[in-house]
Amino acid sequence: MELRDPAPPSKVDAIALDDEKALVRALRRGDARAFDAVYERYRARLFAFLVRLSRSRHVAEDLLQETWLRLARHALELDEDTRLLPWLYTVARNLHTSHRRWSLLDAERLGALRFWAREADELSPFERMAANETERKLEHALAALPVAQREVVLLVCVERMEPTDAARVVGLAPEAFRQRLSRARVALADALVAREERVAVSVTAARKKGRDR
Amino acid sequence: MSGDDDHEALDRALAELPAYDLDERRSAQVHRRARGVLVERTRIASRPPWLRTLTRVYDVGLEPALVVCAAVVYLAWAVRSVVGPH
Repeated sequence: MELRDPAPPSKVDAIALDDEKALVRALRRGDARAFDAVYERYRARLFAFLVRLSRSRHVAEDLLQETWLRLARHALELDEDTRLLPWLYTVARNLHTSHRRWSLLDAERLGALRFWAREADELSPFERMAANETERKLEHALAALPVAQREVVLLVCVERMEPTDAARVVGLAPEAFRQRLSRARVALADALVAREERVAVSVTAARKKGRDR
Repeated sequence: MSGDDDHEALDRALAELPAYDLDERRSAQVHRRARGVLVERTRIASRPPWLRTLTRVYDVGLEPALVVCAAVVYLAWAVRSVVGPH
């Protein structure tokens, strides 16, 4: 996994296709250069969104591939006023929901739900990659949120999407979305505080153990 | 942590989380595969309407039917050869 700038520059963008509407028009014609430009522009954001949402790099890779395949399959039928980023997030999010449904069925069948509970305390791929303590704490707190809350925080706070667009992505009315976002922010803040307290407790315990020796 | 200021600080910190990318090889693989699908779709879409219809009929109806027929014939032959000509 590589660290990149949030918006990597695209060569094709620089040539001509810098406007999203132009990109959509070109995609509707089946222009592969437009596809390259869209891929360059959004792949990192989409991948980061999927990894944070799924907490698994391998799952995110598969879902990312399927998202781009969906765009390739439906490019010719896109509406002219399609906004690509919300469209891609919607597909990615729906694929993740389906994947999760199947994973839950598998987990139930295997009686593996106990392992899921343990998973929240393990490091997510982003935590391992986090450059500093603040990032690590945030990634851990994000990963500990329930998926429904995590996805709204990711879309609005991390991906900086407009709440109205994000509401459409998750299929909620704006007011319901606003409430969920508000609850998610509180839960995230609580998770950060809880983590601080856990760390403090474990440090105290370690010190006590050291003194006892 | 509570209050609007804290939430703003939290939002700022979240917005500054880095974007990561998958490795170049995997990324190129995903890109190539999806691009190939687009090129193929475009190629099919650029055919004359009658040829497109024919292709669709073949893809959706004829090919699956042929595969099912072949499977049934093979299964019948396999069962008969195991059970014997009694």
